[in-house]
Amino acid sequence: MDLYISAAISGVAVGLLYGMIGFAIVMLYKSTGVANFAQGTLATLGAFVAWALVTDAGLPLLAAVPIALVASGVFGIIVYFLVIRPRASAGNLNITVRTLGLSLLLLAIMEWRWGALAPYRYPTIVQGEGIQIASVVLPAQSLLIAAVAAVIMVLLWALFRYTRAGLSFRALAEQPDTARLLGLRATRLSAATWGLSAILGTIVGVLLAPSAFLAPAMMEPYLLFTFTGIVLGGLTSLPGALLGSVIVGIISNVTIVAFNLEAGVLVVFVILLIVMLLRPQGLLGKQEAVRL
Amino acid sequence: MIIGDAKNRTLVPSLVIAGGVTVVGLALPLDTTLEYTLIAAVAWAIAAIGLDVLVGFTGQVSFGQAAFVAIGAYATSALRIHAGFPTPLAVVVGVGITGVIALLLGSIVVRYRIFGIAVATLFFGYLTVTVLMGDVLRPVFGGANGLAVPEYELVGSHGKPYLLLTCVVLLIVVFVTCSLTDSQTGRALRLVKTNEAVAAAAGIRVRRMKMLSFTYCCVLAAIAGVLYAGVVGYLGPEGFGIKQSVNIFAMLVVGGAGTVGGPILGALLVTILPGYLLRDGHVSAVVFAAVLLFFLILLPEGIYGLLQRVGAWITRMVPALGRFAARRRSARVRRVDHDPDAATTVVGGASRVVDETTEAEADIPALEVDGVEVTFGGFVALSDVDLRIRAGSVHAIIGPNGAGKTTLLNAVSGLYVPSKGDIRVFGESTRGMPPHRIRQRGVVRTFQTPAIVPDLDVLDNVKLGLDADEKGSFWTDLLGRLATGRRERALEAEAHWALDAVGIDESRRALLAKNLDLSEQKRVEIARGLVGHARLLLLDEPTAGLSVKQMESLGATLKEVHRRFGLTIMVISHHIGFILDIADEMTVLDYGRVIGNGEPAEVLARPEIAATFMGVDAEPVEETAGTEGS
Repeated sequence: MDLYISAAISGVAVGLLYGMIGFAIVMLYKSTGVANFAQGTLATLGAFVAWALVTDAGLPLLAAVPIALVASGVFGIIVYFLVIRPRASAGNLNITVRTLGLSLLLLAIMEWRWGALAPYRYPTIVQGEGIQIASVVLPAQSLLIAAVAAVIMVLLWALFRYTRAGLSFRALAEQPDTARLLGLRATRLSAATWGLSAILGTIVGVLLAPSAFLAPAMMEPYLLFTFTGIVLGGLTSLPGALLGSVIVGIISNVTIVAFNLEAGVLVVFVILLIVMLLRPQGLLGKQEAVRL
Repeated sequence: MIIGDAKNRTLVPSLVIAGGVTVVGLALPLDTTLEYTLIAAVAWAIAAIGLDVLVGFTGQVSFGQAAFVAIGAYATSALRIHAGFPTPLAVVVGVGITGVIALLLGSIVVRYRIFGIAVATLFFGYLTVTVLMGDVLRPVFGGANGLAVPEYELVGSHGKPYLLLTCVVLLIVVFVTCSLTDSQTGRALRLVKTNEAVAAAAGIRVRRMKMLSFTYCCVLAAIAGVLYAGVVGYLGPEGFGIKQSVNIFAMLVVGGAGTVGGPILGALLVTILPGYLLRDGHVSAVVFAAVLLFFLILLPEGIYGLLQRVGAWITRMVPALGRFAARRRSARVRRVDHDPDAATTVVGGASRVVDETTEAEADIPALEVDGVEVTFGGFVALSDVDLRIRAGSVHAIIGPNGAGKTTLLNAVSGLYVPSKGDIRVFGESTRGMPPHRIRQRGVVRTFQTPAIVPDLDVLDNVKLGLDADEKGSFWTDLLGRLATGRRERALEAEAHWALDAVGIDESRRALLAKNLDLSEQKRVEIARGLVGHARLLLLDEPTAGLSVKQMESLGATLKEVHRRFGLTIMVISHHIGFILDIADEMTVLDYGRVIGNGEPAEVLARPEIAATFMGVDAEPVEETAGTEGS
């Protein structure tokens, strides 16, 4: 039983990680109508960059991670201008497929550079046993994840609540066309959203790699779990993405501990289908008005 | 979420492409590797053509196509190996199993927006590989070790005989798919792609169409799987992962979506370039992704679109060719007999309506709206609306922006479900009826912005209006014009009749609908409504964006239609002159409530109505006090 309780607790932690990239995906989806399928690969790339700074350049992890965060932010903006921005009129599906193409490209490059020896053991930022409450252990990594997630959420909340850029973004997400007509700089905001998405990805990649082991395709199942969390949360709801992801994190973790990864994948897929069948608007989403 | 225009009449160019591949492949002396790669490419092309029906023609998406290739390949092979099925039976059952799985998955995912379909199919692809890799099914599918596929009888597993088999299957698939996309079913899919709400109101069963398209897509994947299994001789789960699903999607993008023939070219490029020309795995993976991005960004219409543009350029350069093309285009319109009497006798169209409405149902109102309320979340869009439209009358609905006029039409046509009240059409309650069933009862509507299929020609757009009444069969639609020609001619005759009625010139009927001007597009939409057994025509702002002259001529058309066919018309308009010209009665909405009803000129003369419209607060208007609105 204790095993399941600690699985559930670390499930909350990984759920928060899914929630963070889910947050990035929903942000982009709301403001541009594009589902970013490259979000997982961006996370892996960030983790690899930090890792390369440690192993190749000999930097301590605590120095490598901030550099990787800045680099990924810049990279996200470059990606936006090279891959997403040109011919943006081609339609959302076209651009969504571009993110898949981007994902394949990044994956191919990572396989080329690092694939042969993968997976790698990944250093953790915090060491130690963690805290023990009664007979249940809270691992240090899970506590770190929870702390980081809390800080990020507060920062994002403050960003959206109090800064000009954050308010503009919300306007763009709620009413993209009106916001553009009102003169919001949609290009700049979209570029910034891509930068922010890549940074969030790197944070998640660095925190997830110690338990997932670093490999180019590391994020594949987690990205799918994230998408399920988003659908469960209601697709366009930012708090929903977090809530749905945590629920998916707990359920998948417990199933994986009880059975194996395959069972975890299967159970999450069944959750996805059940949500689509019975509650297509998700937990916190808006119901669609039109009946077909 | 549409990936460009779909092409019409793809049969000839697509057969030329498939035939060209067949002839070149069989005639040239190919080395073993190239031959193998070519067979694999043709097999993938079949899966990509399936995806084209779903993406290019239906506007949906699947990122898990490789999983269905895997299921077809694995199921067929396992049945041959473990159950000892003879090959033909194993193929039929294997493909059938894939179809059933597709139908089950499809029935769930089509309820969702594209985002959900993309995620669910991607996830399904990952899950399929995970399950095939796993230990549970290892005795059947060999787990990570894979499954050795025994040679097929007669054709073996490689060489010219196997290439011939693969190409023959390709040719059949091309023929069937082109026939399907160019049929009544195909037109319905394309209206679904254009706008699902419009399709539903036009009598199309949207979910069913999406399921059909998804299943067709997956069945072709399974057929591809059977052919692929034979040539590789070994099935390993890792070859069917997310990467391969994206590969198939890339074939579609590179070749050109909505073309049928294009994905064949895409499959050749995407398979032969990395697989044969660049043998280094890492280089080819990078090149592949770069090629995909190149096409998505710079050449989204794909190789097919590029070839078509080159063709158009040549036609322009060589005047004789241009004249030939123009003759062929107009031949399509002139060939048919569009004598109105012949048209109505062939299909038994709208002329019948006159008798029904004028005699039997004169006393029953065409439409009764009783205390209807429609809410969105906390916002009350319509509140306690009562309305009665006499059969055979023209009834106008007016009101300021946001008054709930379109919401009322949506409620009548079944797109919105009222939270209170009842709506009766010719005496029959529509409570709980989906839009297509309401359409079957003769309720036809147009939309504020013309909701026609932009990349379909005018005649085909009008034929869509018959979908609710003249059901064709999906299976005959697969057989092409040999099977559907008679029907198509009958539909065409009726479409011509309706286009005559709304005054669209014959020379304009072979044009793509997007090339018409706004007033013509609105007329085409009305014609689409007329061809069916329309009894109650709902027009949402038919006059918006029209010039005074166009408005007058539209008014004349409507009066003519109304007189000749005894239709009941409910029309929303902002143009008072237009309404006074055509309407017998009028209802005024404001803030979701009825604030006036009666003979148009009389109602407009009331001071409180004038205040609402002129924005003058002549007198305080009690009805609107205290209500909310945006």
